[in-house]
Amino acid sequence: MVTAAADRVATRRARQRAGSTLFGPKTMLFLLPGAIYLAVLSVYPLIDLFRTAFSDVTAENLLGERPFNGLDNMWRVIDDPSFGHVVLQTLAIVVIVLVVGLAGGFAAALVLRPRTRLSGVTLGAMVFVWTLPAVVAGNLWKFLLESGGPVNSVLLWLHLIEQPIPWLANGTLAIVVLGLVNAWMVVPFCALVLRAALLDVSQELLEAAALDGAAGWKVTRHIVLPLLRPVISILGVLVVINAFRSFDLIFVMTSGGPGTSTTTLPYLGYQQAFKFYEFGQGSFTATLSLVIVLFLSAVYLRMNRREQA
Amino acid sequence: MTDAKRNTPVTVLSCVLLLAVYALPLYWLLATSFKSLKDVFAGSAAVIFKPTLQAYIDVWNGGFATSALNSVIIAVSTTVIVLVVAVPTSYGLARLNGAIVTGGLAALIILQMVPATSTLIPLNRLLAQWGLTGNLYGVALAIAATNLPFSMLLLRPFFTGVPIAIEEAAASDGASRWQRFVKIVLPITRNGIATVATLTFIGAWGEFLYAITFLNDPGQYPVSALLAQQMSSYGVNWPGLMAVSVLVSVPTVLIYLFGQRLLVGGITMGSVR
Repeated sequence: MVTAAADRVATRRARQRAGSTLFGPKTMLFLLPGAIYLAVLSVYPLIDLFRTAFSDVTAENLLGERPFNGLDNMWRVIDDPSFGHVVLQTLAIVVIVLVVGLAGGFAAALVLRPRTRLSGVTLGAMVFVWTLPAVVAGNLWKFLLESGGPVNSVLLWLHLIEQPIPWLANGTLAIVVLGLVNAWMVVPFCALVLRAALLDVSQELLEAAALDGAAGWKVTRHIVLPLLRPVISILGVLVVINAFRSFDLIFVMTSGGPGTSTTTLPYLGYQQAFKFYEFGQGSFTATLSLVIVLFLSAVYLRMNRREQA
Repeated sequence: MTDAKRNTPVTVLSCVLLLAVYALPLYWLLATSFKSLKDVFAGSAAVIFKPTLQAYIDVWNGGFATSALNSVIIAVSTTVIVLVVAVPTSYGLARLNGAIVTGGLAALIILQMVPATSTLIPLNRLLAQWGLTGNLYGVALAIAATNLPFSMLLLRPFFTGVPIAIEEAAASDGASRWQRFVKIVLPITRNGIATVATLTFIGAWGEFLYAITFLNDPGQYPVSALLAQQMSSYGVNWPGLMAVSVLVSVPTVLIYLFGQRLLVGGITMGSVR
């Protein structure tokens, strides 16, 4: 991290020296493709989303006139009795993914720190899971958690349960399961990042601590964790954003059900628009999700800047 | 955590546990795709079963080739769009300074985090106005838009890493701005460009939300969309679904086998520093 910062300073200086002559205003032309593409297909859509959020738009006038209707969409979305539950469910998934993802990632990073063959193979399997498309992971777990599926069979066989558990058919349980499957996919990424950070922790420091009589968990708790704090907090924000946005797993595993018991905020916006064709309400919910993500990314940007300073 | 080279009983136990959580489900995925319907949930057939290609044959006869072609069209077009747009832009972002670059980078970080569900409604309208709903290239345009910020952020450090002295030397030999970019900088940064291309391809290959929303005819669906809607010829046909899952994962597996180190290095470099 230190060398990266030094590199950055060095390149910035070099650029300032040469930049004036070699990279004049015409270099700006290189920025055009990205600027235009994102302006049209990324920024404009978000402005349009905001506009639709305060307009009366259904399937009939999706492409036609979109009359403003003030805060109507907001009241309709918020007054829906299930809205409060949706917010809580979103929060539940985010918290589960954050806690299990970071704790699991840290534990895995500690375990996989020695560079042995076994740890290499284990890390390999984990990275593979992380690169797997979410559709595949969702289908796989839906199968594994079937009432007659492998998970229940194994638990029955070990006499840990009396009868099959309806993992995805019980609302509360389904939320927990979705959070855990989501964490299953995110732990490898956390483990990779934290393992790299662990390998950066100076060996001398750990040896000095050992000389002073600190051992095992104490070293981890009082020396390693504080050192990793900046990385862990930035990673935490990334995990939260990802968990909040997660859509694919919910779509594949529960479609937001049973009832609305696994619907999250982004998923609700999708359903309002493309299941009930209430595009105005869907846009309002999507705007709400967007505002939350923008807030989180502002936090991320600030942390990242502080880290680099 | 003192011995960095040898396994302790604790690490061995923990690794086995991690493997059980990560490798076992993958085994089940693969095994189930080779099972016959009656063996799927049979406890006696958990490990020892008579492998059959029936699921794959059914999937193939169900018109898999068409959907696979759709997937290829979407993924390749997305990759081409992303490279054409992201490569020059990232180069510009790496070589320029000032408020535009700082602001641009912050904007990219923010845009990278926007949920796909938030752009879904307006993009649906935009593509409909352009007559591009029900069109595979329309889907590619949309996927590329969500993918671009990440790709640009990932590419920029590769361009920053190209020493300016090289370009100065080329410039003093009379190379134009464009020649320097194409003949000098691009060959040096091919690893980064390959990483971005690969990640974009994998991402577009697994994407299904835009596909099921913008395409009206299931005949146009890519494999990921078929899998997402769990379309199979008869009810819940787990061997069939697992076979499709395996086939959807094929590009990922290939890339994993050949480019794992490249990917892991590139991604961790781009995300948390």
